[in-house]
Amino acid sequence: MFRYVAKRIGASLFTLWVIVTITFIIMHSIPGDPLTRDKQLPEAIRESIEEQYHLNDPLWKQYAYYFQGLAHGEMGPSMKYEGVTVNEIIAQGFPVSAQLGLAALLLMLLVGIPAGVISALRQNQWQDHAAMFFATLGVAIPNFVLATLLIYVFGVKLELLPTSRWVSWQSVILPAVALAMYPTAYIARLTRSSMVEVLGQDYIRAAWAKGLSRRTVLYKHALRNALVPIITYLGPLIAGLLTGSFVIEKIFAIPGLGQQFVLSISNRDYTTILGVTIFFAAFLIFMNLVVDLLYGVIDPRIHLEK
Amino acid sequence: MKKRFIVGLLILSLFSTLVCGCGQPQQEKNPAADAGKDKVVRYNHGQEPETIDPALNTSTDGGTIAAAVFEGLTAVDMNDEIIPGVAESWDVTDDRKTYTFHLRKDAKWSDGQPVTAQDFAYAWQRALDPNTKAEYAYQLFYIQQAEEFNAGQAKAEDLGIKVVDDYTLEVRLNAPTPYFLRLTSFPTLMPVRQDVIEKNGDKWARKVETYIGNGPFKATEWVSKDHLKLVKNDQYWDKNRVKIDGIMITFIGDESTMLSSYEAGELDVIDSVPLTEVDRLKKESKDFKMIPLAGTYYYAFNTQKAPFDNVKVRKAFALAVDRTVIVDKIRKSGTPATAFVPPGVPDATPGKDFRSNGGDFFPVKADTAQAKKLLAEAGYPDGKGFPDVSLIYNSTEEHKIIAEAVLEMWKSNLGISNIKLSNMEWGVFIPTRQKGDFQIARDGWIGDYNDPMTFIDLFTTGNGNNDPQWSNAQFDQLVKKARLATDEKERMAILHEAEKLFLDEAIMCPIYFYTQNTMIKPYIKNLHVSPLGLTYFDRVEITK
Repeated sequence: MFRYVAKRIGASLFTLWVIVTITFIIMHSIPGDPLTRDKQLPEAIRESIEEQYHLNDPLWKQYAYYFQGLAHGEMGPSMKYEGVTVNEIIAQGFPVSAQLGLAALLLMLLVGIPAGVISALRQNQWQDHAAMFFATLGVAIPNFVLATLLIYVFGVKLELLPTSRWVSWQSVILPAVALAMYPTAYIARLTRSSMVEVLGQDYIRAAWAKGLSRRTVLYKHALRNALVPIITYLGPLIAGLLTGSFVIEKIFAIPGLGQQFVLSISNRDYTTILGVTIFFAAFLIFMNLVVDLLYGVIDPRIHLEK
Repeated sequence: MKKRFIVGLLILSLFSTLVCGCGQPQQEKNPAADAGKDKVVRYNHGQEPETIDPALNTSTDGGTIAAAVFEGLTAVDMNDEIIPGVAESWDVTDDRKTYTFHLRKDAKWSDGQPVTAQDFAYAWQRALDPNTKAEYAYQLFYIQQAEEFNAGQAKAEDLGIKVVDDYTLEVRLNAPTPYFLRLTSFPTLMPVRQDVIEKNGDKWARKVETYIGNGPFKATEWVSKDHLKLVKNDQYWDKNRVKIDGIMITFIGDESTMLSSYEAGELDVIDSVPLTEVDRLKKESKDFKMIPLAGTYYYAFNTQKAPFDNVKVRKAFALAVDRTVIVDKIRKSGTPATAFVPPGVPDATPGKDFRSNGGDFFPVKADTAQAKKLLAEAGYPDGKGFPDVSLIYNSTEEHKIIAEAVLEMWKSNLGISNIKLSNMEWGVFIPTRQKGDFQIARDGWIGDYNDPMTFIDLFTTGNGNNDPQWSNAQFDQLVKKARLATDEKERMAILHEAEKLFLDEAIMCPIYFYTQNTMIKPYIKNLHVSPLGLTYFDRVEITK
């Protein structure tokens, strides 16, 4: 187990290096730079700013500078926001995105999995049809449409909840619902099909035949096995949810990391692009590792190391 | 069963969402219930500015915050006329090149320290110092040796800034600059505190504790990317003028969201609205205001590339655009641009602006007959034989619908149908346009200061913002002459002549003059938006 984890972490570092390098190359090859302005800068001013950010050095040198900083845990200053480092941008944005992501995740697990289980148990009855109808709707409606609708109904018309921003616990509700809709619907469908498949297995029939209680059969034998494909989906999904969604954060004016990620690209804020990319990639790799470890816990048939 | 209950709840909530969403628009309720308690204006100004350091800021949002927290030597009133700020009075020498400012003795920083001439000298020198990386350093290039100092070719001592005593500041300029007193009210020239900046480095303008100003308000709370809270500054020398307790500035970037927030009564002022909502708001709400800005939206013709190297072709294109249709039907705001320098930019005589004196150069409606005649003279009767050209714009919905409408006008009025629209991501678009790698390009200019010069000197040979790539020796000569003119009437006459020169050459097709589409609650009075787009709160009253 320990050796497996160590091996995976080693491989992850290599993956991260490849990601940073590719991002670095692509980032510098798109036209424009952090000093691209609607009103062009006077040449002298442009030169002195380039000097400050090492932008006038050859690319390999900038690359070396970047890794030098990275070795000290410094991702450098933002080239867009004066007096702010990329470390600070991540430290500010991530907790907000993570809180929102967790709320959405909770909502998704509390609604999606039970809905899927009920559908599977009441196959082709009205509960199944109703849940699957909304699950289809949930997958089909883009989240920005739902977000706008939620703001209009609960914020503008009913004035029950704040329309936007990140000020109180009520601020979490609407964006979390909008963010959770798609994965909830998807998880419900996934749980249903996985559950239906498992319920038809011989070992379930054997469990019934042994006279086990309904509870034990359903939760211990059926659901546990049905969860494997869901866990697979959850790994990258959790990474995605916790690091923020551009669309939802923009619509609800939430100061999270998701907005920063996309904005930094249109701003050509090189250091922020790299920093957020590294953060996101590392998080994703970590979640995938967690998922792989979880397989072993949930499904005894899977062994990580032979 | 619990789960059945949850599913039921989910189903119910989704269903109720659908039902409520189709309801009729209702009367606005709850007009800002909590705004009245402590007279705070709740104002949204889009995404958080990149910086609110007065020297480093280049944006109107950052400028609005700087203008609330700091005060320059001069200030502006409700009519955007120059009034004394920290300087009580000033003397100007006969050659109009040396200004002596006499500072008031009761001006204080928000921590109680007096505002002195050294604070200004430090702030200006700092803004010019290449290490400060101030993009707007050129707003100070009128001062002797400033440009050289910024380029590292002169020493700080050589600058034409002299602290005579604590309350007297002498400034020597390169040339008579009639709008210099306007510049001194601008954020770039506002004073900053040397001790604070030296102690905190570039972080000083990131924390409210160290963001010490000398203006009507001071910052008390800042949640990054969410809001900045300003309260009345009791140390401000003219605090009696300030009638509100503070301003809550929020950073909602999405236009639809800010409008929702405004309509839910969470905000008092928003300064942009989605274009698609303008029609409805004009009809339904008295809060909707179109505030003119000193800016022009135009299409630049590349004068160095065929077929737009031919003045007749350019003119034909510029005449064939129906500007009223763009303003009324497509963009639903703005005013038709019949020339380049927008209305509201002052002329020599008070009361009449540069535009009304200069007159119109292009019709508000298309002059099809004249356009066709010119096109035929250029060798393309009814558009026959016209080469393939393309129009580039940066990808936004607004630029797209305007470009499509203009394209349609050129097609029906000139008979030219082989024009291609090509949209680009902003970061790609800007360098492409600056390099002159286009035939027609979407363009726009908002003045850096409120004087015709900021619009006219763009088109001097080699200017980085001379997108039409135009070059005319006579024009360059005129701009030079205007810079040196000591008599304001003479200077304006030269500038009129210069504007006429490039408009007669039709190096661009002006489309509309910018307006800021603002929603203001009726109980907010005396909010001043300057033509440069800065919003001033120092005279605002809440009447409820």
